[in-house]
Amino acid sequence: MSKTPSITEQELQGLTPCGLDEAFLSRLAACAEDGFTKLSAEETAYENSLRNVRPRNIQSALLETLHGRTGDAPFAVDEKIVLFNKSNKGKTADSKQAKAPNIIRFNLAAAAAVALLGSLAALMLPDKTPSDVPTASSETPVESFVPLATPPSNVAPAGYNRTLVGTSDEGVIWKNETQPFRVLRHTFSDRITTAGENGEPVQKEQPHIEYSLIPEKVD
Amino acid sequence: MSAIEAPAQSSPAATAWRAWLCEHAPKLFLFSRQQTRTHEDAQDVLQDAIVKLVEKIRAGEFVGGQEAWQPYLYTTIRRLAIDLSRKNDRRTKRETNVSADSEALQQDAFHPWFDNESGDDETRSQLEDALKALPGKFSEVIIMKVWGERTFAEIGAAFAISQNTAASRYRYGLEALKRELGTARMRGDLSI
Repeated sequence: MSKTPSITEQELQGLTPCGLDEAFLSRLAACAEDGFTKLSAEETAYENSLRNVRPRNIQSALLETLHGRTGDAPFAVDEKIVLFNKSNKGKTADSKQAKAPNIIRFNLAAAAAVALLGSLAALMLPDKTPSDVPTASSETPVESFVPLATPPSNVAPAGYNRTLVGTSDEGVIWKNETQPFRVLRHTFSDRITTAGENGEPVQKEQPHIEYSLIPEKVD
Repeated sequence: MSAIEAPAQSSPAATAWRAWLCEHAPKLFLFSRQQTRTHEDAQDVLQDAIVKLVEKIRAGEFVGGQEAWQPYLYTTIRRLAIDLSRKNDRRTKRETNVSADSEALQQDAFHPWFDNESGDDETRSQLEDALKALPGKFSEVIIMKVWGERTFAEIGAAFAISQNTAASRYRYGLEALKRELGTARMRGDLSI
């Protein structure tokens, strides 16, 4: 069988596709240059003139319905600020009163913790106050009771040891109405060893309480 | 003083939602109106789209911030409108309700798409008619671009087309709209 092209095939090869019109060529070129999505000044002006005719405001009934549908959904102002609705569903005076003891207990405990931290700081730092002023603490163990007098400035701390004595669950509190936290109370025993004027070791022991808040999951 | 708190509507989030809806809902509703046959369908579709957005936000499943809400809503409105259209088609076939579309057209007269600051009803009406006369694939791009102020990339993403195709449809549509409105302007009916 001959491999020579027939006359018909030669004729077909002589035909060439029609050229593209100038507008289409420009469009392809603009696409290739990534400029097709940029509007000309004329197009932008016309777009703006159309924009002057504003969409009709929606009916107030529809607006209310749509607003109602947003319900308690948080509103993200930006990446860092999210507005929340007050979650007042099913929240009554009773439930608020039920929460109150927890909050009061937490506040008292926090105050006690701050007081204890303050007294511990007084132990550690030299002070000019009279050394015979005892510091009262109801939680100071009787066995190892040492009057919490402020040490004289020539007594230097020689050792410090903290031991976890116990942890207890103090319940759940609500902060800023949106996030519950479980309150854990940690009781430590701080033992401070100081060197007396004659070099003899003096040990002081004192309880130390810390509270930690752990975010709780809610439905 | 009552221990019960004020209604949730007065909270910062509720106030922010209302302001957001007042600003953006008219544009979204215009698009919804273009995508559906009747005013009522447009309301239903917009409402369903908002509900879907809110559910996603509430569940913590929405990816992106506030700037992503509108693109999501345009896409959702279009999807819901297509679903509704299919449902309506099946119902129309079943009920052979041939007068439904003409009734919808009559209702449109009471629910114009546009307000015009100049109070020119003729312009508003001509523009609405011109948009309705355009093929849907052009008018939907024009509405999203002009009044939704979306980019071609966002429009492309919403319609599953490239941004160049979106730009192409926009230009075709704009030309057709210009021709249509140009005729009206020559007659002295139009202020744009």
